[in-house]
Amino acid sequence: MTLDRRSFLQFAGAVPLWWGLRGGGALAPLGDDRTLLVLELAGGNDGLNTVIPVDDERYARLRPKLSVVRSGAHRLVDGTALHGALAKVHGLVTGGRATVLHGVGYPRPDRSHFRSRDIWHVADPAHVRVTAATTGWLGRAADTIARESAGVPAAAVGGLEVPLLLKSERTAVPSLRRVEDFQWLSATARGPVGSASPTRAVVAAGERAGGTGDDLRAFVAGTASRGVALADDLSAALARYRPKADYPGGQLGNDLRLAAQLVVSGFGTRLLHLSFGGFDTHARQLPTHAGLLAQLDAALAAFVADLDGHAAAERVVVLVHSEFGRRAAENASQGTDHGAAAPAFVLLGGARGGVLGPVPDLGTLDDGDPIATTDFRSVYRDLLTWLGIDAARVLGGEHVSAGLWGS
Amino acid sequence: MNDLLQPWEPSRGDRFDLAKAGHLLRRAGYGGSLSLRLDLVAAGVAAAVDRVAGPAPAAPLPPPERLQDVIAFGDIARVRAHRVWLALHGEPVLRTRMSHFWHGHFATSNQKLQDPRAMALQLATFDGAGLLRFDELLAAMCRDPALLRWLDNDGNKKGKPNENFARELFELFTLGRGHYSEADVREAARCFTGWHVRDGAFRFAANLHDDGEKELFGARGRFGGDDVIAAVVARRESAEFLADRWLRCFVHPEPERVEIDALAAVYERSQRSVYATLTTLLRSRLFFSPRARGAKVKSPADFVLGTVRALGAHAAPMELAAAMAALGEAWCEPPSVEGWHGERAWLSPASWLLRSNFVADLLAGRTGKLQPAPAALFARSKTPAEIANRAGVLLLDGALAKNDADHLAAVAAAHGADHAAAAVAVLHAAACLPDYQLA
Amino acid sequence: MPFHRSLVVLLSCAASVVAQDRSANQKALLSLLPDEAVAVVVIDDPRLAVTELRAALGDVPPALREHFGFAAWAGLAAAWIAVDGDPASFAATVAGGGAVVAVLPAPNGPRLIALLRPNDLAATEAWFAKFVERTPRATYGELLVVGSHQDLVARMQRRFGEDGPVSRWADVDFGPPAPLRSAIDLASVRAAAGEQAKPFAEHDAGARFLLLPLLHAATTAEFATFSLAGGERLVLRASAAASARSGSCRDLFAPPTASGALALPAGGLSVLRLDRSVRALLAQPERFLAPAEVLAVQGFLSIADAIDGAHSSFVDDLLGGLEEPLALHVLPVTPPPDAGPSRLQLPGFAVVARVKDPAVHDVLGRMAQAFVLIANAERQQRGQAPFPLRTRSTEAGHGFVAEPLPWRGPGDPPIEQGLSPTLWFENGHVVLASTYDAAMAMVAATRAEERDARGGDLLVLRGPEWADAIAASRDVLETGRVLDEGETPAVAKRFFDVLLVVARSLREVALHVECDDARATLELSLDRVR
Repeated sequence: MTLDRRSFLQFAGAVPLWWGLRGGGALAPLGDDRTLLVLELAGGNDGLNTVIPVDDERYARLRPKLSVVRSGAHRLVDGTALHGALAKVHGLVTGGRATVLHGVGYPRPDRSHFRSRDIWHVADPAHVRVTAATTGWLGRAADTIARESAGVPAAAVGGLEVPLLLKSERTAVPSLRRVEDFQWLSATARGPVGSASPTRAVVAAGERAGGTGDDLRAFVAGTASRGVALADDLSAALARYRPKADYPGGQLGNDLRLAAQLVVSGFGTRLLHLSFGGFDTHARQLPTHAGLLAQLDAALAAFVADLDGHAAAERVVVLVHSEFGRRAAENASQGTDHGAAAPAFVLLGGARGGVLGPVPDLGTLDDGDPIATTDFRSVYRDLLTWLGIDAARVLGGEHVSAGLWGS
Repeated sequence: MNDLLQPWEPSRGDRFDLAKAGHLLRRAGYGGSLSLRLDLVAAGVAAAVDRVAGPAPAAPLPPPERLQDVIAFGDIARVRAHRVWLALHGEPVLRTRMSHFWHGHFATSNQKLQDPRAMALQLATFDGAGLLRFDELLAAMCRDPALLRWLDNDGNKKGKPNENFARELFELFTLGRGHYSEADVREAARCFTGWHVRDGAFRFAANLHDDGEKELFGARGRFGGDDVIAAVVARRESAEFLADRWLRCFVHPEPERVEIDALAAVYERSQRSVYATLTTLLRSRLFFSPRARGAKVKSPADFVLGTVRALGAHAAPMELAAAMAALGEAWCEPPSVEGWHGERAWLSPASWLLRSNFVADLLAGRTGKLQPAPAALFARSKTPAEIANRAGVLLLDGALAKNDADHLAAVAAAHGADHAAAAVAVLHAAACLPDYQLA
Repeated sequence: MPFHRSLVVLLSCAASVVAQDRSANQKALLSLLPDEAVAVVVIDDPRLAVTELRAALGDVPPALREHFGFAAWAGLAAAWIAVDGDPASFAATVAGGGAVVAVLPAPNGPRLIALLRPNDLAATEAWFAKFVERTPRATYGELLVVGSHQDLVARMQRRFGEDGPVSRWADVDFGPPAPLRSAIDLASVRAAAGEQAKPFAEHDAGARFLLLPLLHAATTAEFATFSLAGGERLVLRASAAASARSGSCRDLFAPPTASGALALPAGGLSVLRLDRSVRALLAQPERFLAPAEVLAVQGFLSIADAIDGAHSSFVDDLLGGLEEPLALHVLPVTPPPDAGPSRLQLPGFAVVARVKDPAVHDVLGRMAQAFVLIANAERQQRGQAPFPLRTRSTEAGHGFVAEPLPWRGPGDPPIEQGLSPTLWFENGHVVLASTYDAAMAMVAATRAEERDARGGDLLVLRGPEWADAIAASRDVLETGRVLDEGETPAVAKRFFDVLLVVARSLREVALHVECDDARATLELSLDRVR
């Protein structure tokens, strides 16, 4: 009997502020709004068994049992190979539509789930404690685009709570689990207020009358009208979407389909976050990891195919990452323990494709982990720049490019 | 204009009518049913304010009903729901409104504390002492385990003073920025060393207390925490600070200088009695002036609880608390040390949608049962115009413009012979009017 | 093959007069029912049925009567007058020669048709005319037809006059004799439900595992029979010719054990036993679960296996070392010795299993220590006192007990002060319990070796014991209803008044499900306190 008994929108940040709708409820024109989807693999994805250094004998020595994933792996140009379950993602990489970045992490790695995840979310390796005022990098990005963008600039897809990375200073960021969350509900029937309902006249009249009254009343009446328009616009936009691919069943498939719906509907939501959990494979890793990667592969492929079907793939980029990787050596339970640097994937967005960054050096380990060769903030910088957002402002400083869109 | 706070008296052209009774209940409490409003109208303004404020408390009031049961659950959601239940049913209404005011004032959040028992006990302290003299409340709060842990005074000891508590005491609770110096903060921190929490209760650790000589606000002495309290409440700035806050809560979001001065004077003359100050304010010409009426945007609590009370109904407190949290006001978890900012910030197109949808869900029975059913309130209203008028009386104290009344009648007429549906639809539409968002 | 049905009816009436052959009576009535009926209830001897059921239900507890609202009293009084104060005689008058009731599906809700053979047709007609004038009905010979809709009754009248095929319901086996029997055509019900009737494999994994025999029967059996019998206990029995043991799911049942199941000790509140092998499910999840569910199991195991590190496997060493099925016993509240009880007190919970492999002692011991370590760390982060884990041993057993430190805080102690999680090994069994007392009670039960003859799945509830447990925390539970349901305090109080009276009047309620190679059977029994 808690908050999740009903599907209300959940707001991050301190206070919901008003979102404008551009002139009279017109939607953002398609093609103009580039969108970023951050897909977080929660629990610490084992990077070394995802992007496998098949030619490195040290790998086999470090992982006598777990290195069996070498067979069936899909080769990449630099001597590494993708886990056998990632067949379709492999196709995207070799086709130049997805990029594998080796060794993404940050200095002085933290191996606590919560702290490392917070670090990625806040984009500050020195971050110590979350307070009420802490903001996340996507939240800050949402703050910068909130005035220009229509409707909802950022949203968390799936889940009840809005994660730290979307926590903003001023912009209200909802968590959406179903499309129906945004309807203007009728009190007498299931579903939204009808288009011919006389209740609409009440709201409209309120705005007309409010204009002549005092300032506060006018503000309230205007907000009401915009609220109704918001609901109508989103319902209409979402009704135009039909999935053009078969999403696999399960939570990830559903969430990615909802994300595609938001992207395709042209509603103006440009920053999305999704979480897919279960990667904390301390024991019996082989079957679990294979199953998770298979789900990921199928769902991502469907998402790309769906966007292709709606001719929206050009304006979307997807970042797939985890809060840390796992140790180079396997443990005694046929699993792996918390690590540090790990590969990340960037799909679509016209990024350069293929493999980026040096293959992790298993000869030089830092406390049992490969050393990070790319700071994750460089990746963020490239993504923000592609979105047309001031990266230095959002990240609180300059960072070198990770080379995702060339040098 | 020193007669701002003189008691307002009704006159031929300016009666104590339903609108004024509604205004009194919305500001001093969380609204009220039509029958309660009519009772107040019949009783007259003086008796109405007495009823709303209750008798003057001479000693801390007894703890709220069912407090120990709620603590037994060990669950912050039930603590929150309990506060909602008290807001719906507790008397006098001013007590529960002030408990919530102090909760926002001393904004302590369970997100850090993770201690529902301590939060419930802190709120019970507000229930008990919130209307007494401010000195007494502040003394109780400086010994409150939840507040001490929230502001890290547990680590404040001799030789290693922690200034957080003292700073927030001055900046947020009593004086406001600019009315104290950094030196005052340092010295006050030393005064509060040893004010610790052990086993969930206040404990003065004498061995950790710095009892050396300090200089505070120009005076020297071997001061302790109680001396800080005595010194700070005596300052004029403290009176003005509180007066400003109370005016924002009860009158208008932007108080004027003369108003602050007048209320601060009343506060000081009454020996810093919160009860006396607020009852003067609630009885005053300022409170019933056009400036005060319809000047504030309803907070989520005002909106959610006010709607349920206006319909004379009860609904599941857990659901209502969840609705308030979804609208941005989760009791026991204020978003910052400054409590909840409100007014226009409460309203955005999306939060307006949520408020409208809350009313729709409530009336449709989707948030648990609403008893009595809304249609029962319309038993004597037959025609669409009567239904519209009745909704206007229930939700807006009858202040319904002709234009709006016609639109509401059209809403009722659209449901033909289905009287129950017409009643529900009209109530929902009335709640969509701009005036319904204003307190 | 067409019959002269009227001839059949006349002959059967003659037969009944001569030989009191009730089954022939019933067959005759059944032969008249519409084929599309999906459920039929047969009452061979209504007088006996009423007598037995009344005996089993007993009287309304006096304490409950004060809670009847006026409407309920008025309704009861009217019903009593209508049956002239003697329900058994009334039943005999109206349907002394037998009755069948058929349920027919329809878009707007089920329709009913009843065929009655009254002892006194004229009196029965007069009764209907007086009390339920508007009910559609008709007579044919000595039969009375009553229906929920006029068109149904008319249709039956036409059937009486015509020749036509005998209803399929005449050949249905309603099971052994009982005061009230019923058969449901599950296949037709599923067909009528269309899309809403999911096949077995599409149901939720939890439902498939927990309700295995019932769900399997509901989704695959053609017919199910029900019977209601009275006497000392009220017993509802259901049976279907479909067994989950016949397919791939047979391995989900626990292997047969030499000893039977442990009975619920005296004073216990409930026992829940599921005749399943959790080990079989977790060892080969892909045999029984859908891919997404398999992932969930793998995720769980990867954590469960990690707790004891490389020393042991959760499935093989821990579950494999215990004899399944496991049972959960709920035992009375025992207030803690110090500082008074919390206002909210939990009953004791205990899981007991016979040990197959003594190595499981070490596995469980290590896991217990790991759990307590993690739990105490979390408690410390929240500023709560830890539960130190101590080893203890007696002459016959040994184990681990995590007891809270004495409560020194303000107000009543929190609910966990009443807990003392215990892991105990004694007498060839292992007990995991929420309190030390509960553990010792279960150990005593293993020594007493009282067995429950009922195998399969079993859920037992003992009303008076539950009433005591609820009464101990009543204030808090009422507050819970006030906050969660929005009831007023008076309504919440009345809820518990009624609940406690009802609970104290039910000595035992038991639900028992068994599944052999051919059939699945369910028995729900209700035993009054007398």
